[in-house]
Amino acid sequence: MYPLTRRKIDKYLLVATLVLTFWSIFHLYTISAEGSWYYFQRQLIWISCGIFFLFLFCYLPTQIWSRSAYFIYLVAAVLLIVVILKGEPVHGARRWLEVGLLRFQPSEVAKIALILSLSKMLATQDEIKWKTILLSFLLTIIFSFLIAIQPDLGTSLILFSIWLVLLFVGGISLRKFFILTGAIITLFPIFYSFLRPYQKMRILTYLNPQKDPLGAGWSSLQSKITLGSGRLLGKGIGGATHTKLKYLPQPLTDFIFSSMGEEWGFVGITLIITAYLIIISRGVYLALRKSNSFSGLFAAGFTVLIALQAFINMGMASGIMPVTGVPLPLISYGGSSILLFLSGIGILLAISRET
Amino acid sequence: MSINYRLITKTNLKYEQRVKVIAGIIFFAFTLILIRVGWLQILHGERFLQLSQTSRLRLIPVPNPRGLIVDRKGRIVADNTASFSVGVIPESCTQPEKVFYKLKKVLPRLNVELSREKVEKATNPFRPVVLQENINLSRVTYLMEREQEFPSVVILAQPVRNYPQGKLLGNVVGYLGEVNKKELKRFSILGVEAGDLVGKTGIEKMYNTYLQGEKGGRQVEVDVYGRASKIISEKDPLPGNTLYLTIDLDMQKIAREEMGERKGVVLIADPFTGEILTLLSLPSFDPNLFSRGISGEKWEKLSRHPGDPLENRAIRGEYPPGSTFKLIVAAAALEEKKITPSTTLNCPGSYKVGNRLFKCWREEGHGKVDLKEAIIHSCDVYFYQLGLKIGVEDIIRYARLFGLGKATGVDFPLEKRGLLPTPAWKNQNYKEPWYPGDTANLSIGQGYILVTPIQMLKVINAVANGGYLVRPHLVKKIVNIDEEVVFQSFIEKDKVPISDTTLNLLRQALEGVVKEGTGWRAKNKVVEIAGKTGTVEIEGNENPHNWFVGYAPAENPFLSIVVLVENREEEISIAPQIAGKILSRIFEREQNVSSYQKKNR
Repeated sequence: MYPLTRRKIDKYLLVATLVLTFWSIFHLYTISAEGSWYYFQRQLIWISCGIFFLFLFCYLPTQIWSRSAYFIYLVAAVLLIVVILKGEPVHGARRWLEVGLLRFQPSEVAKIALILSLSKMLATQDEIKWKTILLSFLLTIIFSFLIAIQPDLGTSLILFSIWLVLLFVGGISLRKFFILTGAIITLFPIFYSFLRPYQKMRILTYLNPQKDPLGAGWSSLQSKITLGSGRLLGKGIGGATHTKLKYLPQPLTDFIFSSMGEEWGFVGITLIITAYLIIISRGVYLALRKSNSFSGLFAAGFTVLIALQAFINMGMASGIMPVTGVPLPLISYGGSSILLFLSGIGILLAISRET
Repeated sequence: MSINYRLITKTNLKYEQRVKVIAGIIFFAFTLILIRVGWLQILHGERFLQLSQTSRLRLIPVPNPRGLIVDRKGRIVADNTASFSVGVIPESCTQPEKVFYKLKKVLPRLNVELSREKVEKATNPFRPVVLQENINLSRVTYLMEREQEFPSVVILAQPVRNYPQGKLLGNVVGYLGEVNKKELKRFSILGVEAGDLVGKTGIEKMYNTYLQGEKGGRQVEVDVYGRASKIISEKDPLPGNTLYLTIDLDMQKIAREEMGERKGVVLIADPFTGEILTLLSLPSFDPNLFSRGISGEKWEKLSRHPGDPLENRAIRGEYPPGSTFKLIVAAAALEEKKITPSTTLNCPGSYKVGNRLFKCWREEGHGKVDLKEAIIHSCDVYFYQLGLKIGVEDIIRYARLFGLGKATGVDFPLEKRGLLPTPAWKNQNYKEPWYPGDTANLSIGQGYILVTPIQMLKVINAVANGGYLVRPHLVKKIVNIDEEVVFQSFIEKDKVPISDTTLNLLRQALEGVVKEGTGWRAKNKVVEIAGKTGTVEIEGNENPHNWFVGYAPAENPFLSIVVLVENREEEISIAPQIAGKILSRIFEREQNVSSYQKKNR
């Protein structure tokens, strides 16, 4: 029924992924206080599950995804609605759903669901018509909206960017593309006025973090101190004092990049960025090889997702992007994010095995 | 524009090119991150490392107790207590309302609205926000025992200077205040830092170096909440020394009771050593007001108070000496041989100098009186004539020999010197020559002359102790924590160059003043007092100042006294009466005086 897979697994992609994943869990171990292994243990479980999914999806035929794309979209939409209605508020945002002992973020499912559906919708079209653009926009805006009201502005914007990228790669005429971007730029001020005060604050803080170093600019400043104090070679394994003494906020999620920079220095940061670039190169290579088929678009979309999140997170840690709480792919603590990215890489690996 | 537009729309990119554009943007973005991180870690790494160290390593000052101030018998005049405040840490206070309503049950005065505002406005989320100060101990222990029920609530203890004697010695001991730039330089060797408290006035200021002690320090590694996780090095704090005042609290209290609500000064001293046993300056203030942070309203009230309660008028108040000055004029006359003790001068009730008529306080006059009688009855006309015989230069010279016109050397900040007028001074300040009338006025201690009560104490001490000027002082000794004496007051003595015969005559006259003269109100059944009264008319106020300077017992004195009542409200000469009451109450109780008596030769 399905074509036989002939190619070998993409070793570069797999190794780079595993290096980042194992490095992150080791880092989590070194910055945990003696005897408090809660986060480490949980992350270990999530990573184990994630690797299981990675290999499972790697050996599943890719047609499954193209067939079930819209169904997955529906499931994600339902989950997003449920989280709005019943989610547990944490720090004032309803982002998590609790299922038994597990807690996960439907917005992570939404990311992959949107990439799948958009890839399916835009695949193998010579010229994308306004009607398709409108439909794809609807798919995107529904998720964007549901996520924005959680509120999770970062993810909402990421979904929007993915949509634009997939339209572009999918072959939308440049004329239409510029009309769309023009429209978005015009609408931005209106969008800004809908932001919550703390979200506006973050953007303003980003523009001038020194203004109030103990208030809203605290995170950004502490992150830069943590990262910068690592210098060339880092403070050594377990030597991340600024992280360990809790000056760095959210050291496991938002700012894990800074804390790795503190421990491993510029050398470590270069290695992390190299690993990401390997993953991205393999994704781009795959997208090129698969042309504008469903697989090709998915490879492009998912690669851009990794690149975008990595860029936003690293940019935020090094103080060139506002603080938005976007996790660092494959590294940040958090089950949903780990599962999403390892599963996605699994699908990429499956695509690479196709002829 | 239109050409460009067409160009773009006509040349549609192929799929491959589009993917490569995206890939290019990504690589560019990642390069940007790498450059940025390199900028942070390599170019500015040292600076960020330093920032990380300075926030991590903290020198936590370990406060030391300030030295005690006690009276001569060791009774507490100033010590230290703790003041407790309740605060919350905004960062961990997730449900402020709930916490505040719970706290309100323990602290009824807590304002929930205001507290929430304070927490919302907090700039550092990790620094405790003080909600209420001066919490009493029972509430503090209640909160501490239920720490679990009040998450994010912290109790902050602050050392506070405590003055159990309150107003009684307010303008003697002084108060503390935040160190200023000049003081910071001076006391930095003791570890004093900006924001610390140092003595601002009085004894607290004068002896700050001894009282301050030395702060200890602990270098610790702290986390973001300021919790110390590791002690790196430590230095013990050194408590301040204990300061023994020469003040005798029993006498001070007696003086306070007898002065009542009057404005003025009472000084009691040991005439042989210069130790000040009582220094009462009224009105006074409660230095405890400053310890717990004085409110603007109260400060306003204190600083604008017409009675100037913050001033120590015994040392910083300048007054004309009035008839008490006659002592010095008499001494000058005898020493300069202008008269003999038996020389008599007539007092018809007034005396004409130039074309101005100078009156005696007694309108009907005193008739023919000799020097002793003139002192006893404080005859003004006698002294007008005497003064003119001596001349202004010699009067001023003798005043100076008795220590007027210069600092007494008392151990108190910013002592005033009073004023001894001379013709040259008058010419300089008023562009007028010195008239004989000025000399007449000076002879009865009126006119331009000004003295401080402590200067008059020095004068009367010299009369009482056989002609020695001794430096009055307020501090007896200072001992360190091991009871070793680190400062001992010293007696500075200077013989006034007057003969014993002159001195004896003066003392006989002073005895007479109380026995039969103007100071009769000082007479009492307990102790014989000698002394001189003075009444000073003040321009613009119908109530005169009233002086009494004297000593007791008259024969063999070992306590001297100065009483000054500003603008007395009584019709009578109240100062000798107050002096008499104070001294009789002191001498009534054997234990009050035995120690001074024994020492006396």
